[in-house]
Amino acid sequence: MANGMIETLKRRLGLQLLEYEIPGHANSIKYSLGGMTASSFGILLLSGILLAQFYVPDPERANTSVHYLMDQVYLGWFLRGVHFWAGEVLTVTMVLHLIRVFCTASYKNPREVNWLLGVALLLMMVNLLFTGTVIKWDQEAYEALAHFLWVAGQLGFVGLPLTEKFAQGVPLLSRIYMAHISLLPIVTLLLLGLHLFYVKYHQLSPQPGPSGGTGKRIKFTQHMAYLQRAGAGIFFLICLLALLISPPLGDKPVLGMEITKPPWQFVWIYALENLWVPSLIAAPLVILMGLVSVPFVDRGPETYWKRRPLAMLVLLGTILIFAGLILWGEVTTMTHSM
Amino acid sequence: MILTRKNSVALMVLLMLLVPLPAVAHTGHDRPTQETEPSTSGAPASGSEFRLEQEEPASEAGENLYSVESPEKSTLPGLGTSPASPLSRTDLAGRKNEMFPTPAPLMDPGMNPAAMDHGSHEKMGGHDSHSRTIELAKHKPVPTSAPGYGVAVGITLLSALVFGALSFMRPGE
Repeated sequence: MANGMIETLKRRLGLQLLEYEIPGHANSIKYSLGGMTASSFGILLLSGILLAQFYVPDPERANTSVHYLMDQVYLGWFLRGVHFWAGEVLTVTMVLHLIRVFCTASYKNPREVNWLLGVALLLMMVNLLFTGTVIKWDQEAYEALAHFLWVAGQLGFVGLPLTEKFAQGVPLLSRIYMAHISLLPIVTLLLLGLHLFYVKYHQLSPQPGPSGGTGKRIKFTQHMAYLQRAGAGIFFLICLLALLISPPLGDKPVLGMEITKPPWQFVWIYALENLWVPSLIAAPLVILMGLVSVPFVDRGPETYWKRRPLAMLVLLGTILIFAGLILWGEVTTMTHSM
Repeated sequence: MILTRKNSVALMVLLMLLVPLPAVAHTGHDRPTQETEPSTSGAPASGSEFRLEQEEPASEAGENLYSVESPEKSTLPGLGTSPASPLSRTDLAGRKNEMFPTPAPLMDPGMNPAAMDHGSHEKMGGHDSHSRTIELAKHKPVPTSAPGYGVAVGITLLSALVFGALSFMRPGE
């Protein structure tokens, strides 16, 4: 009887359409990193909606409202912890997903557009991370915003919409909050929808190398079940981290001071800035152009990593440079000021 | 045109070289030193507190984004004086802001922890009552006294249980 009810429900909701076949290697950790990233994003959305109930997007009260949430609201600290750690886990799984796609050359014909969508999603996540850092409005947030505004100022007319001059009289913090909770998530969701559509349209990229092409096929619903388990694991990890470690939160900023370092995701640019201030503008542009150019530069048919030594060298070099800059940024002290 | 590997490398190198050029052309971040500089007690060690000594009693100017305090009262360079302006002096490069004709740098070189004049701090050592402390935000262990800690433990255990059950039974996989 239960089976009959499930079948009826499937037919009514059209769920049988999800039972199409996909390659069997979809149910592996390395091919589920994108799904894990999406799980973290879902947790971020839900926890963000709850957090928004307690946040006051007013420069005068923003920091106080976060402190109130952390200290006074029942489970408020846990909620913020979940939001914070979901962002951290998302960063890790997203970068690992990017590395996997690069290693398996999944950006090659016919999936170039999906690579570009992935780069756009990466950009959105960076923006969400940045705006999330700013809206807690402590010293770290203030300094992050000050650097951002310097960059926007250097961009002249192009950067104008990102400055306070664009909407004088409106607190910039309020606009950043609006971007964090509406503009950026909406654009991200649209891009994510397109990203998933093209995964479906072009099908999951084949597994390169000798182990690939085993021919095993599974139903997409089996992959959904696998992702559900992965998502549960991600949620458990996030809860555990939120339970154990409280995310950083300072007091209201002392304006004019520059004493903090950015979160680890941005600390590499802090190190570069220490070498050469215009890196704040140049480095993101170089990285973005590098990522965008990947499918147009590497157009050979080979997808197995062992037969792509140059690509692997570029990847390894990039990872080492970033790791080195992050480590250096963590230990170095700023030797100049803007 | 199909790019060969050699051409591809050349193109990437070219892109890397070309992109930073506009940025170099617009290097303009040097700023004049401010006349009134708060002295500090030195560069913060990791996880330490950064103390800012002030001649005047600690005001809310530095804390209040909506500061309307007169500039001569505050030794901290406020970002704005408009109630609706959290960051009024948006031009960090030092260009003049029409709304606030007396630009003050957001990040004055004299306020850099690495470039602090420790000697001046020693001279001001007796101003403890006039000092403000900036505590650098860090990750901290969650105290078990946090409101709802037990429930949070329960939620975490439940999520572990769900994950464990899914991993054990593998429904639908």
